[in-house]
Amino acid sequence: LVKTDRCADELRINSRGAELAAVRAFLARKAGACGFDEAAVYDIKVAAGEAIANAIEHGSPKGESNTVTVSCERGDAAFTIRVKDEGVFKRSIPNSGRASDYRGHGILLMLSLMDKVEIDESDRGTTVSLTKRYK
Amino acid sequence: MEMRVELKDGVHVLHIAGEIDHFVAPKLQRQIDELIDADQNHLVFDFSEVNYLDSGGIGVLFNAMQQLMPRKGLIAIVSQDENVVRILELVGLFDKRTNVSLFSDSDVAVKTLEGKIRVG
Repeated sequence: LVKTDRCADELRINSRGAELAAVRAFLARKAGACGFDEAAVYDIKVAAGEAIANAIEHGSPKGESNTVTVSCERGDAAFTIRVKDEGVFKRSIPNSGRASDYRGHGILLMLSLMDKVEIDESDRGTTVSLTKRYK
Repeated sequence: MEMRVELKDGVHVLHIAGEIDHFVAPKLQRQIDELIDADQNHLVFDFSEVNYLDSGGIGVLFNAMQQLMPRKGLIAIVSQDENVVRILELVGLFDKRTNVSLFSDSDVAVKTLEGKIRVG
């Protein structure tokens, strides 16, 4: 029997950049509690920060009145953060290679810093799942 | 994020403290645009007191790089924070094809840029 300890905590924020620091603090606490070292916690903050910035910029058709939901799951072998918005995912993954491509850097970062990145689109919003293994 | 601009030996140094994310990046961008509009071609970003930088800050730095490269401008980043340096290396900011160099000391960065500007 596989037993999973789900973090009950879930953070719901208004869709605005001013909330980013609070989300990072929340994730640092959660990731730290899973035993990740400082560098890994930093990776998680950067990857999640990118997903949340995307959610605010592209996944919030009503602006700040939209909600972004950040949740985490402490699995047996890995820690997963889910960032859910209320928009529809419209971007394609790769990277034009142009230096000015902010989003390209962001996705490159998420893929580089995490072990798995999944993007799930539905009519009710987009969920980005970021997974990092414990070692 | 706190920000202060200093003119030292003819080089503009942006001293930043705190966290550079998507929320504060536009403020940094405006400051850089102001300097570039005033024909400053060489910039030192002193991140000695920056403990967090993500793609919000990276975008701003790549923007500055692209604006200054055609003017043969030089950019120096000062940081000793392992995480900040690691992220910037990961996205290729210090690649040979860029005009961006990494320093661990602000004074050395200013001297190096000042020397290169003088030689031309």
